[in-house]
Amino acid sequence: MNIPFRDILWPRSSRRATLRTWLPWMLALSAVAAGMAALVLGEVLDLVELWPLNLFVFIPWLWRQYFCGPRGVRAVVGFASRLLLFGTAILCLCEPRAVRSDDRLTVMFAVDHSSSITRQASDEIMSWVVAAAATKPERDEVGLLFFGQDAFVELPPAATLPFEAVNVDVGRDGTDVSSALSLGAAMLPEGNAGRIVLVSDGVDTEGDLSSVLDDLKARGVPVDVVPVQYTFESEVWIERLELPTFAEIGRPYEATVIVSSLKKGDGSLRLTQNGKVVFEDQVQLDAGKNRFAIGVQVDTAGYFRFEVEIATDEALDSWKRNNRAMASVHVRGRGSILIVTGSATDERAVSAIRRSLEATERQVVVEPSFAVPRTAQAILPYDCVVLVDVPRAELDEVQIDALYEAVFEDACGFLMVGGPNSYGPGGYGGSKIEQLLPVSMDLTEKKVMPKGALAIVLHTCEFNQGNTWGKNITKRAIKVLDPRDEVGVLAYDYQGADTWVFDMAPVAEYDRMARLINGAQIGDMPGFQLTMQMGLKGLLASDASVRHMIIISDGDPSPPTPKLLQRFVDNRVSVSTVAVFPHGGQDVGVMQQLSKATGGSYYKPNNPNKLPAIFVKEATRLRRSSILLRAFTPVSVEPSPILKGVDSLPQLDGYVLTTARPEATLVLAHEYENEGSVEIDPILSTWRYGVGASAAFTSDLAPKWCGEWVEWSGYRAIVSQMVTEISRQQSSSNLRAKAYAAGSEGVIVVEDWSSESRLLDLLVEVDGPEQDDAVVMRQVGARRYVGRFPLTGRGEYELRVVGGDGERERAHAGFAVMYSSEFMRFRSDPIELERIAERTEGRRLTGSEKGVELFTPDRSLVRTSRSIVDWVLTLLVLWLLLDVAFRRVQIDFRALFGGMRFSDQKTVTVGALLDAQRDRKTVTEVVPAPLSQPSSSPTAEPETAAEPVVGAATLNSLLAERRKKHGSSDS
Amino acid sequence: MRLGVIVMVLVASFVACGAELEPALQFDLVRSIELPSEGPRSPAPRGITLGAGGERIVLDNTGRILVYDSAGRFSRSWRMPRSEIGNPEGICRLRDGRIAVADTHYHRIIIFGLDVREFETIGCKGIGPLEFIYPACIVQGDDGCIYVAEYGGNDRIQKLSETGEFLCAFGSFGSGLAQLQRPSGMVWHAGRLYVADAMNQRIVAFDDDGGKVSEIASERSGLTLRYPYDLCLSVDGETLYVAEFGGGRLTAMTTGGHLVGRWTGDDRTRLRTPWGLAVDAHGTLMVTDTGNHRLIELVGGGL
Repeated sequence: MNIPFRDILWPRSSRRATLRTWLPWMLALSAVAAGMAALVLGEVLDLVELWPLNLFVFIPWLWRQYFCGPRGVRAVVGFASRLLLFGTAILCLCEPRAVRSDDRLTVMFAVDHSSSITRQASDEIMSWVVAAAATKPERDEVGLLFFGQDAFVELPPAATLPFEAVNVDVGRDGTDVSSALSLGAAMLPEGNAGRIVLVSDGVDTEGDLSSVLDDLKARGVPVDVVPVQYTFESEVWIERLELPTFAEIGRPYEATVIVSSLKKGDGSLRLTQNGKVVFEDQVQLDAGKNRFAIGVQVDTAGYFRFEVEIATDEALDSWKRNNRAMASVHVRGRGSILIVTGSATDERAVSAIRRSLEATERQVVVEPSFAVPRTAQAILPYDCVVLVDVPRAELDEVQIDALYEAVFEDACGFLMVGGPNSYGPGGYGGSKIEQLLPVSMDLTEKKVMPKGALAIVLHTCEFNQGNTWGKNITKRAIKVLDPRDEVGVLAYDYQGADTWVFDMAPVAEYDRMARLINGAQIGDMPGFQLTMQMGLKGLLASDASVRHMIIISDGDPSPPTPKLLQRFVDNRVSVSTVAVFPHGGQDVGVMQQLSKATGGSYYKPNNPNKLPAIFVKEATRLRRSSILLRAFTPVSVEPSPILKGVDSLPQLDGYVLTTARPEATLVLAHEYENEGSVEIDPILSTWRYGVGASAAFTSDLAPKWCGEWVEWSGYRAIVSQMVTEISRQQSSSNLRAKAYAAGSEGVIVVEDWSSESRLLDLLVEVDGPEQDDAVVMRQVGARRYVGRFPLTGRGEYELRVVGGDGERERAHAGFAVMYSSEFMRFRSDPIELERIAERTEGRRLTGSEKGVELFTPDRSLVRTSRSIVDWVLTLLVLWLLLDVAFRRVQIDFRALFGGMRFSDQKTVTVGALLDAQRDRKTVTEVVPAPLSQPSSSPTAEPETAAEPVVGAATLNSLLAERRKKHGSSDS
Repeated sequence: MRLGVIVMVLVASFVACGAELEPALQFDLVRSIELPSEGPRSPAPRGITLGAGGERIVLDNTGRILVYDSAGRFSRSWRMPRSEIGNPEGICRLRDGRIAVADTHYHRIIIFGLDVREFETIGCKGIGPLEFIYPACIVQGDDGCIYVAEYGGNDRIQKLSETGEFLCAFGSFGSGLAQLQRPSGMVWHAGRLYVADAMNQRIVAFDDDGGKVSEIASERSGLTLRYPYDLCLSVDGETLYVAEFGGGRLTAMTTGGHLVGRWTGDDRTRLRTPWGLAVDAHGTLMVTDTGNHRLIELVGGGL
């Protein structure tokens, strides 16, 4: 089609331009321009780019297209459609943003929850916050966060503040105002004006406040401050307890106590050694520092923990928590073996092991699990620790950490003796104890190992931080399970009713599960029926051989129907119930009934601290299947000094299934054929771990599984050689270390008592309550080195020194920070709070303001905008399609619904098409090619034919086809 | 082609009709009322009933009985005799002006006199006549009889005389027709007792002597309810309003169980575990929005 370029730019017309032809586009242009101007000026719309408005100069061209085209209503509407299309395209290029103006205010309360805020002060603060929130303007929003060492949102901004109790787990041994303000600002919604109300004593112990304040000022977020005021006129606190660096048996020493007081007075000073009082007397206190020297003496080797405490009148002392200090001394002597027993340990095993070990030079000490030392240093007197069928639930995490450190860092030996409560069935899967053992509890490789399925039902726990507790213990219970086991968690969600927090899935997906548990909303469940039904369905869908459900609740949901309970019984799914704060202890009937009917256990702990152990114990029900009771004779696999003098081994009757680690020395094993292949289960294996060593004996060394062994003459030899193989070897060291706390820092002093003068490259590691650290040591004198490190909170600090020539020499030191730095400040700091308010243009409040006063009435409108380019673009595309359809498609409704008159109407439509075609030819002055131009060859390239010819031919052939069709239908 | 267009028209009509299946209730005004704080706690409301002169009498989860005037202004409060173990769930103003409270966790009924410092106690823990396990709801019929609904495995309704004598009990624990699982709300109308059977997710209606029972609304009848906790009747007695604890919404239906409309609120007024429900003489609905610790008043409109 040869259209002159000039005609494209400005089409020719035979018509005259009159007011009637100009008017439509003038009106349309005015309407579009006025509409856009109104939207922009009315602050409904914001245009990011303005240059695309210049494209309106092309509107005359559009009009010319219309003016030169066919006439009629269709042409006018078509022109209007194109105008709108063009306007929309220009609007799209302007990157429009929808503007929203609002004067709603969001106030985020940031409440200090550190230890320096007393319970009474905290209650008063929250009473005010809750009352202020209840009287705020209805449209405004309010949120709440608590802070201490860190900050957590208790309730995000919303129209109401449904505060019941503190549910977030805030570290209380410090105050980080900067993290509170950062979090508070982050929680303010973008579209509202925002304020933070900071309620604190102003004693900031951590964080970089200055940069946060600059950021808040830049963002226009004022911080109103409410000072919590206090000043202590009198206070007594123990700064330090010092003990000698090196102690010898029977020699007297001095323990030095530094006591500070703001006022003169007297008090009672008491010193205990491993819990036994060794000194108690009245002492006079002057204002300032007071030094007291107390004579002490140790008569045996071992670890000695000294604690000092001062008691004074109420008038002289405000805080009691800073009245204690602790220090320890390790007195070297003959090595010992610690045998740890659990509540279900077979006494016969303990007696047999004890008799075997007493033949060695080492002293044997038998202690119950709760007496296991809680620090690695306290384990130093023991060369080896033997756990005899002790379940993990009977050891807390601190004890487990101490055992791990003792082996990994301090070369202590560790032996786990099997039994129904050890290894996997004992709940050690995924624990640090598993890490240090030469066997793994992961039985994935075992071909016949049945797996378990566990469903945990969480009802809201109505005690302080109850839901946080519920979530944490659930995660811990899951970690106990084997990666192949399946677990699912159900809760009553506030929005979704009874729901799976996550469906039954293999424990291997623990990371995903932990994320979902952390984000779960646990609500007040009306009844157990639906939740248990869902849980049962999930458990039955699993191909696990052991299925179990744990329910934690306050006991008042409606019970399940007997029919549902019977389904649990029929499918052998046990249900254990944990009643937590069951409404005065009375609402326990339903929970008891549930566990009794299904063969589960019922617990009613009076202390939430017992919950983790219960959950772990319950979770280990699934692992009962990993005990193999079968008579067999173990075979020796790899040579080991443990088997010295042992020619043949008697039969064993059972053991716990484990998997030997590839790096371990497999000393004894049970080899058997299973499904055509040979299985090798470890019975005795050893390896080195860190600087220590450990051994795993998966049978019980008791008459139950080792009946013939206990009677066997080689029993004593093999047990003593087992322990000797892994025990710590005593070595001499010329290094002596002393450590103590000095303000917010810890100090370690190392002395070199070597006979030779030498320069040492010392490596010092600190194992603190929050994190581990390395200390850079500096030589400060002949054979004397000093290092400093920051204290990370309340708790015990253990320091290990390694250095010396040739064989590395070791020394240990430690101290305890008994109270946080929060208790070292005796007056609040309102000036710091005022500085915060001043820098952010906030207000100083008194803490008695009502909601309407707090939610300041002189508020300003906040304009926010969001891009609507996507919407305009979608409109453009849709309109483009409609525009094309409108101009190209003509629907004959009479034909569509006309029934028998269909054919007549069609002819008319085709006639109209032909008219339109003829009009187009007239306007563009294009002469069409002959209607039936035969192609020269069926295989000719399409490019060889002129495009209009092909188009015309196609149209004509279509018309011919239609006529033919109509003719046949007419006939 | 023609067939295709017709099918499209039919589909469009079907979709359009589908949108009409669950019409939304519209109200002229939605008012939020906060509860007075209780020390450092922000209490959550539970049961609600109407007092004299349009007063709203509300139970909260700190053991208080709060009274608001008809304009929603807090006027006074008093406490339950005991609430350490747990808090009451149901409340009803009796015809003679006394206030009856289902003291759920103490397994008894407390009736406060006109002077609220005086009260009488009915029942104790047990499964016999005038004994209760978790009484959750209490209502009075026009004939003066008092109905008490219980749960906790003893799910039933006890009918008492106006003076507190045992008349009869009906319903038992289960999911059958005359069985109940946590009957949480009741309303008496024209000799029938409509019961919100929460765990069975349905509304059932008993004759007021329990002799005849029918299922008004449930999944089976095509009206899904999620933990219906309370219900009340419109002023004209033709529409039942149901507070759905699990659904977080208010549902209106005819007394025959046909859906009239639903309301969940907008971003600001969205319900979270609504518990109790009452309607005043002007047709204003009051919902205890327990999860959000507030009362919601829905004024005007409705349908």
